Amino acid sequence: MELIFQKIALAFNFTPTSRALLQEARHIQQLFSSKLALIHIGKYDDETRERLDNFLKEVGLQPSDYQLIWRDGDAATEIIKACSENEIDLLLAGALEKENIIKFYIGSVARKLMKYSPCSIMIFKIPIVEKPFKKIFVSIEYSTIGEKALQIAYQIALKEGATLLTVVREFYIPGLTAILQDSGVVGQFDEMREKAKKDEEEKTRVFINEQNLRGINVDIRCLYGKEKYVERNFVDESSPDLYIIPSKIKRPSLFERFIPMETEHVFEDLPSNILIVR
Amino acid sequence: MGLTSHDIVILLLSIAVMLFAAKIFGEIFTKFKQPAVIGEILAGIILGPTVLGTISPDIFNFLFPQTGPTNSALTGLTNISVVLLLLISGMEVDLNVVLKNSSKALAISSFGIIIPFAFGFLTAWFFPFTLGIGDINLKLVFALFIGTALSISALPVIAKTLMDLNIYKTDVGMMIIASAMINDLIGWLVFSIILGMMGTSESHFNFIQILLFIIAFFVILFVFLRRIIDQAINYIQERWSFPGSILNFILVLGIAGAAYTQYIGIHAVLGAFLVGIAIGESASLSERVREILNQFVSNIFAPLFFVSIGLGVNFIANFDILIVVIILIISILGKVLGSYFGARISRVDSTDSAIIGFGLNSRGTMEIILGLLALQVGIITNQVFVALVLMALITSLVSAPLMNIMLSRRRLSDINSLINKKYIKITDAATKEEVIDELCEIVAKAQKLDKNELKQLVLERENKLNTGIANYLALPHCRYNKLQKPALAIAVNKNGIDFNTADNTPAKFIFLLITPENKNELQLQLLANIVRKFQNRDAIESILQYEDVSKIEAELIKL
Repeated sequence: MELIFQKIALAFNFTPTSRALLQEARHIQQLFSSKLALIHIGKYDDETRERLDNFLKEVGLQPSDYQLIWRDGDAATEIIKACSENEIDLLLAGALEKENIIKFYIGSVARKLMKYSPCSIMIFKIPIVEKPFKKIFVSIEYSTIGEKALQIAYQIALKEGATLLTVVREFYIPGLTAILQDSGVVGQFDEMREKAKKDEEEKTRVFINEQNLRGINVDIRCLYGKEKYVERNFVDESSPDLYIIPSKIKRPSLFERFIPMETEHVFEDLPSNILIVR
Repeated sequence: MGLTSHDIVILLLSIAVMLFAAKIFGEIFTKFKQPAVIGEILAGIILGPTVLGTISPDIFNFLFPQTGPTNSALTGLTNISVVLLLLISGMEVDLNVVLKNSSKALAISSFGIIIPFAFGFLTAWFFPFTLGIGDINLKLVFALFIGTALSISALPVIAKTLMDLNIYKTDVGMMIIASAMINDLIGWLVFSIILGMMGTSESHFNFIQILLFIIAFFVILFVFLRRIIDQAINYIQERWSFPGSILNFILVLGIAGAAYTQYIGIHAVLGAFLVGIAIGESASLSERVREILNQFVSNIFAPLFFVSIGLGVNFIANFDILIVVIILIISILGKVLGSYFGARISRVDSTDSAIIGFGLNSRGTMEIILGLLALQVGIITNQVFVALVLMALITSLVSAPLMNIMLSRRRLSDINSLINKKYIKITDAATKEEVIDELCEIVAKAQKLDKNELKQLVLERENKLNTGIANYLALPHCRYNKLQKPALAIAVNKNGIDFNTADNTPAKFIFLLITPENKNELQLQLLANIVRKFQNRDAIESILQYEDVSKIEAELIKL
């Protein structure tokens, strides 16, 4: 089974970062032989149009290479709409800056895109380092979307000629420390967590075997922690070229302000380039 | 009034005696796989007026004077102990789990609260004198109190029981944990409302004001502070001295929260509990800190509180068999039936529902704290208090054995429960297709499925990636949407069939595992369990000598 992003889109403006992003977009486009769409949000006028055409020519793009989508309005909303209407499989964008508490409650474009993009989305860490994705980490969950993320990681690894794929599985046993409240017996507690870790590794191994990933070595890391915090720290330390995570779109709910989304810790301060698989 | 040197000596001595007795009894109960808290409460009963006070009133009065500065100091200490106990209890309430399992757990815990509450409330409302009401003018509060005191499960006891029974990580285990967490949360909120209604004389505010203060606290804590707390924990853990600073930070927050709720006229424990939840939600909080805090509180402060319960009341003089029996019956019936019913309407099958019912039956800290307060303000008598403590002890004691009975009927997520001689076949099939056909026949017949459809799915999966493992094991499998529970059939072929195993051994044990479509994790778990069984080649070879499927069944389970 080969999962290909048939149509990718890049949200861009005229910043220097956009230049590097366009190069990355071309790289991904070549990897998957996909069609490329460029999304620009802003008021349309002839002057801007000319500036834009020149900008694209400068980075070596001919009009036949891409489809231009130009819209006006709220950036995040319009980009999301453009993705659904144009059947985009993968959206590319630059990272958000490091967020503070106030930003968290207000929200930013990149954060909205990561949360509500209808398709998979790849966010590049700024500054962009142009190099192939040789060191790939993929976070897994035991679900169809988890399988898809692993397959995509595998395809990218093969195409980029990577020899090792690191599979990260974070797991957590809620309320476990409560047992310490009764007897305070640490031995039993440690034993249970150790056993849970072995179980998890075995499960992950079976999960990976089911996906039939030939021609690549897989390194399994099962980490005990929650809401991707421990995982994030691990990824941060290892600084891979690409970190792939499966994540469904979550509709905003009353509880969302109360309960952090699982991937929120990853969103805040990117450990590396990140691909969210939907 | 300050403490004299003599008072301090007595105070220190009494604490030493309490901690020592608590540990001895707690240890004995732990050895027998019973909750340590039962031992600690028993230690208090023995040190209190019930035993020591009767045998040697002089020693009892010397160690635990019932009035005076030493008594006040000890009361202060037990109050701090309860606050800390509730702080760590709150930290174990995982809102994520509560929300993720929400529909089922919510139904289970709602019925698990409403039914025993209704039983308790109605009994107290219609028979207040039988239950020994303290003041008939407080009939409503009394009935509300009895209702609440019967409804709240004890999370730590439940967690420990689940772990001892080895079902913590199963679906049923997680449902019980999530329900117990919701139960805790709702219980403490109802508790605070009742306390508001009781209206302690020292409160500066009326009931509505108290309610508004609590809601404001809740919103500020969970909407704004929770996030800041998370970042602060992250910062402190990384930059300040570990673990001292972070422990200090948590204790400061918890105690401040407790002071706030005490100030507005609700017991301090509610503030500690809510702050505990907000702290526990922090993903940055290291597991190590949770461990340290739990050990620190559960080995020092919790025992002091549990022992102190027995120090104030004579459990024999105040033992009223009628009240004890009534409380026991309505609490157990209400809780077990309520939780069972909640699980049943969430489409959990009857055996699992019963396990859930018995699992949530354990009661503990909550009813005792509530009871102590009610006793202080004169809503209940010593007799009811004694009955409540005994109820907490007995429900905690019987929970595990009752669950065990139900568990022996089925262990769903355990591969051994699926190995059944009825579905083991000794076969001469020569090819992969033949043996898969035979196994599909067995499963289809047992589960009343369409054999051809099933076989097609298995072969599709097999063609995608062959399922020969190693050590004579092949593991054809698939997910099937017409199945509600996993099914397993095993073929044993002494000649071996080519399944392209990793170590080139011919497959002599062929396990066909079919799992429900939507249960990805269950399938992985079972596959992993089977693979793990086939690690020791000698043991596997020895099974091949048997001709009898019963013997093969037994040996495979043993692996």
